[in-house]
Amino acid sequence: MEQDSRFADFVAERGDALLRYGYVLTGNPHDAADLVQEALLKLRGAWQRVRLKDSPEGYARTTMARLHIAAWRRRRREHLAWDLPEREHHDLLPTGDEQALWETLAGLPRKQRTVLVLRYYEQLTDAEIAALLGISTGTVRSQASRALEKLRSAVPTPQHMTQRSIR
Amino acid sequence: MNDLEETLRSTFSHAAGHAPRPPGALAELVETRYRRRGRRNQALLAAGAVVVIAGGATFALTGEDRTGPSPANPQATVSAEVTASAEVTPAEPATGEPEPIQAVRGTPEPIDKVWPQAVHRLPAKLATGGTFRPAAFIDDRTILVTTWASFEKTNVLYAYDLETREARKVADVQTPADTVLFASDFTIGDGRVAWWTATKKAVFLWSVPLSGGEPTLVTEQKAEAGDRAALDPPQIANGRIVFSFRGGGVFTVPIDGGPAEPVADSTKLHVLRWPWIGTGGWYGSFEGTRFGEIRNVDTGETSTAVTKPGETMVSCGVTLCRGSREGLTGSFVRQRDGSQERTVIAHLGPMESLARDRFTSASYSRGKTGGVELHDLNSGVAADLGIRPGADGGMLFPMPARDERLLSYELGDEIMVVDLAKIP
Repeated sequence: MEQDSRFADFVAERGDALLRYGYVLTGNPHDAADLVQEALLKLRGAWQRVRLKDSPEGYARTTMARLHIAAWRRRRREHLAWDLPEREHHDLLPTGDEQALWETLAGLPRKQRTVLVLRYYEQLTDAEIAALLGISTGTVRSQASRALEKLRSAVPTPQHMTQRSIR
Repeated sequence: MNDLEETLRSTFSHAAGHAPRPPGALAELVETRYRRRGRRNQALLAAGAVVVIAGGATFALTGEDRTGPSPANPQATVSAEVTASAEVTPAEPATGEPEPIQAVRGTPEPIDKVWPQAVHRLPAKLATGGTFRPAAFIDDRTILVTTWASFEKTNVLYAYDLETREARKVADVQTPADTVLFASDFTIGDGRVAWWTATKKAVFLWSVPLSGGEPTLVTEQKAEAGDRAALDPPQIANGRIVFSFRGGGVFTVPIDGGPAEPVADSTKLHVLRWPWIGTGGWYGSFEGTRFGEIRNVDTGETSTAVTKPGETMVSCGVTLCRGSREGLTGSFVRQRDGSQERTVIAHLGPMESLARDRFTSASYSRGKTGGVELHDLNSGVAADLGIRPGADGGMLFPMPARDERLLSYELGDEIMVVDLAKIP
């Protein structure tokens, strides 16, 4: 399949957003970059079909979420096609609560974290999440509930609500 | 929404701001990897069992032994394990009626039995102990070989005598500081060898006499970020190096140094086979047929390749085009005018052209074994290169070199060199 310049355009325009999504899904820059790369490879292979029938970005995001919780990915990571910058990625988040939550998220099972990201970052409904991950709505709710419970125990009483800038 | 959920939302939002930034060439990196993976998957899938011939061409292969054309078994037996390779069907006959497809089952013979005059088995190390890699033919009995200081970082060029197996040093290859693309695309002509290197800021063309000496910096071309920081494979013609940027733009420069001159009306064009230049090039994003439009710089002659709706991955040379279309397993190969189409059940990658308009390599599998064959599309003959899958099931897949004459690969402790020019 020839490379379609629209694929390059898509990557140029949306690569940044996909990296951000990958970063909240995985919690670290290397896994984020790996996930984006893998999803773009799949998108590249399906480009003609996806471009005509689906949303490339939706395809990429769905692929990333599914890949992230797929068991096989835990066993391998391919070499990245690009070098990540040397800068420190662990900048502190604006409040202690957010920082504590972010660190606690790292301890969640991937599926639980993915459900939270889809719900609170991607703003999807539970039904949409269920369809995207190919699981039941009940499973989405139970995964989210368990995850929130763990987070709540780590951050008992979020404060500073008024100081945050909400998008 | 409670406080926790609200905090979670803002946490994700703020954390997203700490994500790494994608590199500017991300699409190109993905493209490169996509092609590499495609080739690897092709090798892993490997092919099996059937060969379909048509129009009298006996092609390929499978089965446990080579039985030759079998009139008793005129129909191809396609088994489920067949996934690729070696299948050639004829162009649709003029009558519109498909010719009956015949199959030849059998195992291809080793290449040094099929074309013994073309094969050289060489010890994999030079007398000095270093591992070498063949790059191109210099003449009938001499090849240019390189040694590496580290992965793909060439440090020395040698002229290697295929008969005496002696290597004569041609030159040391220097890699300037800040080089991001090591010496690439060694090409031979007019008694010299030329190559290029690149930093993030410039591309450097080099050449040295094959008789030996210090490499000359032929030209330095400042590069903007992106496409212009790399070249298509240069060529040598009439005392000049002809080169084009991967983003387009054809230039010539005296082979031993001097000012580079742009070729008229070539701003977006690439070198194909001098004096032919054309659209698309081999690298980067391009929508349409690669080298679909070509022009002979000497005569002004132009040619537009025929492309039909639904075809993808169409790439052309000076005489042939190949590509894919929906529902077609493998690739088609035909003349630029669309005539004489054949189907090759081997997925030819975008970078692959048929060497000498007839040779390509393809993988196969037979039961639990697999390998790589060299196919001659002219005669329909295939030969086994002897390559077998490694422990992970993967195989390295040698491709003919840019000189369209050299095919080389490692086999155990030996390096195999196939001289495609010696195959009648």
